[in-house]
Amino acid sequence: MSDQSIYLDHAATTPIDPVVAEQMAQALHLANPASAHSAGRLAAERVEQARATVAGHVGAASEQLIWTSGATEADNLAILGGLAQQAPAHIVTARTEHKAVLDPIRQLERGGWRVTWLKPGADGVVAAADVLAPVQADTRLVSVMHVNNETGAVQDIAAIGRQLADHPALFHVDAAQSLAWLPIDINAMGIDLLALSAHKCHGPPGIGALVMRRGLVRLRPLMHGGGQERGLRPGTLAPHQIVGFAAAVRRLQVCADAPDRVRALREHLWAGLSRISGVIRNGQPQSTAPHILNATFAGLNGESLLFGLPGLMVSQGSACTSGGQESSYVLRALGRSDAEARASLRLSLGRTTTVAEIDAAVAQISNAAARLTALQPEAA
Amino acid sequence: METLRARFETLRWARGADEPITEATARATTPASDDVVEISLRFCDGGIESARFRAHGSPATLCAADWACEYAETGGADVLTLCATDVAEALHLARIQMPAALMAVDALQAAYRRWQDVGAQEHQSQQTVSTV
Repeated sequence: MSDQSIYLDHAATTPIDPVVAEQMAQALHLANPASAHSAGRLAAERVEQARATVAGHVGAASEQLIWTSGATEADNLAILGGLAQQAPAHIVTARTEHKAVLDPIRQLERGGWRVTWLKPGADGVVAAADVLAPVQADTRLVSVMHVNNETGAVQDIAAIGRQLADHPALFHVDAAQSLAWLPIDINAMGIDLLALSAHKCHGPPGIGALVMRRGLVRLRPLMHGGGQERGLRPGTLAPHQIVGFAAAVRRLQVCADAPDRVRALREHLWAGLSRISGVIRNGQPQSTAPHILNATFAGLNGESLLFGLPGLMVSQGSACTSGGQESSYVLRALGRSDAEARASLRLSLGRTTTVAEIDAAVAQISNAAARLTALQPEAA
Repeated sequence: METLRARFETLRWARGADEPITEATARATTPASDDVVEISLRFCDGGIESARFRAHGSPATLCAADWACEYAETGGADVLTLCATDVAEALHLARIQMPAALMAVDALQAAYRRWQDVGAQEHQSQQTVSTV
C-alpha cells in the first residue's frame, strides 16, 4: 500500500492498527504457552486474557473459544468437525457463502450429504423464512454468513437463530466480515458455531477463532498431534498473533463510532459513483454492512476498469477467488449476468478512510469509465 | 519489455471522438467473450496512412488493438503477414489472452482486405469477422 494509493479493499484485509502492531511486537518474546515453566505460564496467561477479550466481544465465555489460523480454518472445523460423527443427512446453506463454507460443504455433498443451496434476493439477503423453509427433521447443519464479503449483505442471523432454537441442526455463522462492523452476541443470536478472523478488523492475518455454543461437544478435530485447545485444534499457539487479535478487538471498542462514520462515507461514495452512466448498486444501503459498496458498471469491462485505476486499491470480488477467471458467483446468484458480474467493482472502506480519499476515488473511477466508454465502437 | 499496463496508459492509436471512420473499417469478435475490436484504416499512395481502433473488452484486447494499429501505421510491413503470435509475443500475452491477439489481427487484416476489394474510393465500408 503506497502512500499515493487509495486503499478501498478493507474487505480483503485491513491495515494493521499501529497499537495492535506495537502490542504484538511486545508479545513476540513470549514462550510456548503450553510449557509448565514460568515463561510458559506467563505466555498462557496472556493467551487466556486475549481469549476472554475476544470471546467476551461476541457474548461468549473463554472456554467457548478455540484459536484457529483464521476464519477459513474455523469454518472448516465447524462444518467438517461438526458433522464428522454423523451419517450423511441434510444441510442448508446459501449460494453466496464464502468459499471457506462452500467448499467443505461440497466435500460433504460428494460424500452423500444432501444440500439445499439457497438463492438470495436481488439485494443479496436470504430471508430468514427462506432459510427455515427447507429445514427437515434430518437437517444437521444450517450455515449462513453474517455479512457477505462481496456485497456486504447482512443476514438476519438472530431471526434464523431464534427459529432454529428448538431444532437439533447446528447453526454455523461465518462472521469474518461483520466482527468490525456489527454487534454479535452468540447467545442472543442463537449461534452454535461462529467463525472469526483478526485481519478483517485491523488485526494480524493468520489468526482467527471458532466460538462455540456453551456445552457443545460434538466437534471432531481436523488435525491431530497435540492436546492444545482441548484437543480440538492441536499445534503450538502463536501468542503474538493471539495478543494481536485481542488488541484489535479492544480497538474496535475504542473506535465504536467507526460504523456510523464509515456508513456515511460509503453513501458519499455512492452519491458520486451513481452519476456515472449505467452504474447499478448491488445491494441496498439499509441491508448492507457499513463498509462495502458493490457496483456494476454496465457496458464496461471490469478488468479494464480496474486496469485504469492504478492508484486505487479495489477488487472485482473476493480476494480469495480473484486468481480465477470465473466471474463473481455471488453477483450471478443475485441475478447479474456474467458480463454484468465481470463489470463490477467491490469498494470496501475502513475506519481510516477519509472524505478526500472518497472524492479522489470517485474522480478516478469516473474518468476511467468515461475513457472506456469513449473507446467503445458504435453499435454495429 | 513492454507491459500491458504501460501500453494501456496511453493507447495512442485509439480513434478519437471527432475522428471519422475512414476508408476501410472492420470488426472482429470472439465467442470466448463479449470483446470486440474495430480497426479503421486510411490509405495514401497505396499504403496505410493511418490506423485507429475502438474496442470493448479486457486490457489485453484494447492493448492488442492498439499494438496492431501501431504496427500497421508505423511498421511499414505487409499487414497480411502479421500473426497473432507476433502480437502476443510483443505484449507478453498469456495463453488465455490469445483471443485478444487474434481479434486484433483479424480486424486489421479484414479492414485491409476490404480496402483491397472495394478500392480506395469507397468510404466507410464495414464488415464483421468472428475470431475463434
